[in-house]
Amino acid sequence: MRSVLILSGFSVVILFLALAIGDHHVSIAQILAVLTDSPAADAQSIQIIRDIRLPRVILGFLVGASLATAGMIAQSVLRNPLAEPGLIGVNAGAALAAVIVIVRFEVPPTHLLSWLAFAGALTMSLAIYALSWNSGSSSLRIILIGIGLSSLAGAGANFISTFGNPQAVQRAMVWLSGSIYNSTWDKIRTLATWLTIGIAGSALIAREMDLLILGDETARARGQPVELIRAVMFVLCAVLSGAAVAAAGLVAFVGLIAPHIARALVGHSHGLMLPVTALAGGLLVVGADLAARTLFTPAPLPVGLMTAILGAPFFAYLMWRKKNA
Amino acid sequence: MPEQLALPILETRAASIGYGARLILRDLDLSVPEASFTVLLGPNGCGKSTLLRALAGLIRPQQGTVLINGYSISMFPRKELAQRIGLLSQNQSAPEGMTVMDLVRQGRYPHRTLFGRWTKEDDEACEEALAVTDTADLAGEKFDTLSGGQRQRAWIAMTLAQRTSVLLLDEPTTFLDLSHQIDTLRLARKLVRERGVTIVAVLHDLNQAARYADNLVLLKHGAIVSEGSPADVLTSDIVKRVFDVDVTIITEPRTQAPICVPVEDADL
Repeated sequence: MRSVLILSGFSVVILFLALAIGDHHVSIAQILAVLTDSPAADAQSIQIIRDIRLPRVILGFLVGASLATAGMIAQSVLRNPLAEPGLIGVNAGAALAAVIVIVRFEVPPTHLLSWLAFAGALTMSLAIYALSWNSGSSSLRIILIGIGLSSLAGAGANFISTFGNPQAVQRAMVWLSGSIYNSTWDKIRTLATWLTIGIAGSALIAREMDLLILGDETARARGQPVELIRAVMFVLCAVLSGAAVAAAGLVAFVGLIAPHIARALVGHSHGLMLPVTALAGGLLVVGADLAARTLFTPAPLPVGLMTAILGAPFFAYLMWRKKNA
Repeated sequence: MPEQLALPILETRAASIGYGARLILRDLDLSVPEASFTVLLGPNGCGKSTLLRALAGLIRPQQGTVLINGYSISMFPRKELAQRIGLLSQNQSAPEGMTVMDLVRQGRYPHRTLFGRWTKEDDEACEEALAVTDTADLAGEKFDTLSGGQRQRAWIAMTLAQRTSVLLLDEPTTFLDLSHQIDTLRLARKLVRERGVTIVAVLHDLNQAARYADNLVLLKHGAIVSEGSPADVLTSDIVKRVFDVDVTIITEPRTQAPICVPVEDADL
């Protein structure tokens, strides 16, 4: 529990830093004034905080929390510590849908783009689940078919990009690279809704996940309806990560790393892991975004690139530790 | 022989069991007496594990039935079945970083409802399971730091925490050193004698089976070759038929348990 308190305290610090630091610095006093709607807040601070930084920080946090929770579910349902939501086709599905829409319709309205990306993510992951069904599902089949279908979708996206209008393709690439710079309260509301559903669902089946990770046979012998639980986990994972991708494009590695951080802090019980994973994921994205827009000024990096830069060494570390275990 | 009088708690009737088109067991009739220790023996691939899985209700027979207390096990909801029958499968693995206690607590799953709290009874069952498997001092240890034998005992503890009247153990002594093998077999016999638990286990060591079990069932090619008390079943003729090994049977003087000793040609 102490680690959770430390993590929460750390979150508050990061969130305040993310609000304060930028092209124009805002003092802590001013931030508090804006947040509490006090008359001491000056007009410029109100505009910067309320219209730009606050939505960006909140959206970043929600994106991270969604991806992290989806990652935890993916690692448990696929029974693989190196799994992440991308493995069940969410990224590839969303990317293909987005590329088709952007290249085909030039300038699609943002909310349409988000919805279609979401739909693409869900369709792809459900197709993977359906194709891997062979009188029952298995983790290994899901992983293999997921990799296969994802490559196919990637090839499709590349094919379209090759023949598309270069400007539209450029826009699609920027959208895909994962950014939260044009955050709106609208996006926040949509993602917050899906995140609430996803987290509530995960909390309900936390105990089921504790058992399922021990293997199908063991879970079945304890009386668990394994296929039902796995299907629910699959849908939760697809919804959470699909909604995150729709809001921010592809933000890599958060879904992989956050569950590991949580496990190191509170152990394997999903009930305890869930809040810590979500918190850690949110923090990672907000922190990475803060780094991405301050360390490399005047050319801020997309946050998706930053999490990849931070995440790749961590992934290598996990592989190395596994090899030496 | 009291076990001959006891009612069968588990039965298969004309059961043919397999995976898809491949039948592993054909037309099998088996009855397991209540409060007895039954050991399944036979060469690799003879269908021992498949039989255990069918007895646990994990695979449905393609023909025939599996009965518990005279009722077809397909009539029971899964959780209710898991309150009566516990299965320890072969080759288990737990995620690294998981503690022994985390694992053992999962044995309580069938006794808990969706929103039910962890009860005092759950605690007692876990503590008892840890105590009888000699793993209490490992409760807080992480799985990846344990030896093969310690892991195996933790899995047995998890199955015991389920507190079922029937225990099905698939090669419970694999990975254990001799002293823990004997401990496990003694524990099995103690559960049978003192609590009236019915145990069906797959073992590979004929002599250990003969020493500790009440009943032996010898299988080959998916059919029962012989079943009965160790003294009746372990004859050189039957062992030759099942394992294709020439043995001499000698009798342990104190317990009268039969012991198989392989025969070698003098010129080897």
